[in-house]
Amino acid sequence: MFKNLLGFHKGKDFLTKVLDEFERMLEDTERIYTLVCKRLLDNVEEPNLKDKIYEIDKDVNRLQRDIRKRIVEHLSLQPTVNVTACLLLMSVVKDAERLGDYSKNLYEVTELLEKPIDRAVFSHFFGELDKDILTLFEQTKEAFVESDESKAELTWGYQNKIKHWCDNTVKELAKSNLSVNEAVCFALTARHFKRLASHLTNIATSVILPLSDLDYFDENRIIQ
Amino acid sequence: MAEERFITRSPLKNGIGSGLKIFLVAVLLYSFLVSIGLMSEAFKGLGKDFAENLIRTTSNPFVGLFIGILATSIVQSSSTITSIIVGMVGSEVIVNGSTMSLLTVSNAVPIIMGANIGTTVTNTIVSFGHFTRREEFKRAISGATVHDFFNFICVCIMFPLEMVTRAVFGKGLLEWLATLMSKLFTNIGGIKFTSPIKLATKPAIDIIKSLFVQFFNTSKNTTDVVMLIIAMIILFFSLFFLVKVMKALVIQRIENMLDEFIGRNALWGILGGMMFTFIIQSSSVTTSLLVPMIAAGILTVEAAFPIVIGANIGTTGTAILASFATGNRLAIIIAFVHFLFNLTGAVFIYPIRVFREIPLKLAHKLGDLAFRKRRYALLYVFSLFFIVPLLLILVSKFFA
Repeated sequence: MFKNLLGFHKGKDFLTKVLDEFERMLEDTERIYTLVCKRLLDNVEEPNLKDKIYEIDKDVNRLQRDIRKRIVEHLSLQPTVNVTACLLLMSVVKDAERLGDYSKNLYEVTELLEKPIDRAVFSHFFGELDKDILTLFEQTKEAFVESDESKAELTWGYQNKIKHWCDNTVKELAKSNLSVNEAVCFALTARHFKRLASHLTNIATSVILPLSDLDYFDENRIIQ
Repeated sequence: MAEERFITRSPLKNGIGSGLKIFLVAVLLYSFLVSIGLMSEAFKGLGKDFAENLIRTTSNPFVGLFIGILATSIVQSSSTITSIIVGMVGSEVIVNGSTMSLLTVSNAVPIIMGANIGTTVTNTIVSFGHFTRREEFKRAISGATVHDFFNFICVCIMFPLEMVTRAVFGKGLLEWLATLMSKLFTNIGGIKFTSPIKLATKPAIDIIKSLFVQFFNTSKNTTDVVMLIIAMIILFFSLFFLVKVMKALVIQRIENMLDEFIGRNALWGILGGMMFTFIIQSSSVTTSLLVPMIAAGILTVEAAFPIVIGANIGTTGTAILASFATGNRLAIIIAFVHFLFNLTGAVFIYPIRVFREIPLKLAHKLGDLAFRKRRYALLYVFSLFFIVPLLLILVSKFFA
């Protein structure tokens, strides 16, 4: 107890703590995504995968609540300090939490599948989108943690490509001769990929966008 | 790094570095101590009539109690009121050839108790910031009024006990204990204790006093009245800014340690509340900072309760400092009465579950009531802190 009291002058500050936690959220959701893709596309059977994914997702949700709690504590104690940062974090933390949810939803697609995905068929519809999203995860993390504006702008390019590809895939699936099960699973995958890319870009572009324009990067100055 | 992009600071933080803030704290603390000494000198000059009138007014303990509530509710700072009381007790005047305090310790005890109730009005007013959101307001008002009810219960127990022991033994329990404690700081074994604070402030007080005498060379009474007013203004502003600067100086560190104090155990909460309040010299700031967290639902009333009790103890540091500025034994006694009163609450009332649950239940009940009809919360504040004390003072005066 006394040791802790003596440590009064030390300790990480609010922003360092919150940004560390946010980075952990991004790392955790990337881990869920990687594990799910291995199962979905490479058919790698990992023991207790479902439990593992749900456990990591719970941790992501806990981190989200923890960040929100820290923000409220901070604004209660210092209402005029870091207000923009707090509002921004309140917004992007929701995006990070959604990353966990959509990655988890991708896992649910693997449970719907009646037979393992044929990689060639998948590539025909999706190309290398799974890898592009993984790259987007990395770029988003770097752009946000390092506050790198050029990397943030790059993510928008990726997102745009993924979004259009996914939209086209759904159109193609509607005309395809795939079985109902495969077509539904692919359509869901396309939907989840698109949402993942969107949320990742929301996080990355928060580096450049004014607070009022968060989440509207496609209607904003990046286009200009 | 991302942290750098995010950091936006308050105007105070931008403008003033830590070194300058520490210097400001030293200046403000010195001004505060000088104001107490100056006030003490001015009270002495007000003389016999003023002293007799004051003693007569405060001789009714109930009136004293309500004066304490009303004065603190108006000023919204128990530190200011207790410091003024300490200054009054520390001012000796000559009545009928013998030296006596402007305000006796016995008469000051109920005022100190009243100040403890009055100080709780600030965080209750802060809770009204959540008035428009019903559920949030319910939590906020419960969180704020747990302090009110706890202090109220402490007074309900300690006030009669003090009166009964005074009637039986000639000295109230708290007064007797505080007298014992004060002996540590006064004449021990024939060696006269000289307060280093008094020594440090005396030259400044003497200079200011001589300036006043030169300026108002016509009437001594006018000099003393003006000096008293100026001393009170200095006291008020030095405490006000001292709290602000100290808060700016330590708030970051407090925030970094917040998790250590919230939700661990009651002892940690008490220690945290006590430490923070002692540093910033204001229990109102500590308890008011808790209200938005309780309103947001990230801190329960139960978890905030020990912090509030710690704040009660921490705030007594200001009066103790003020008493050392007067260097008067009676002033030290009344400052210790303040300390012991709040310590008693923490040591003897909080640990007993039955007692501990009373303020919590009452606070939750008031929260429920305010949830249904928010005007009850307004009625509660106005009646408890302003109307009832004022009416009772007037009634007592009328019957006297």
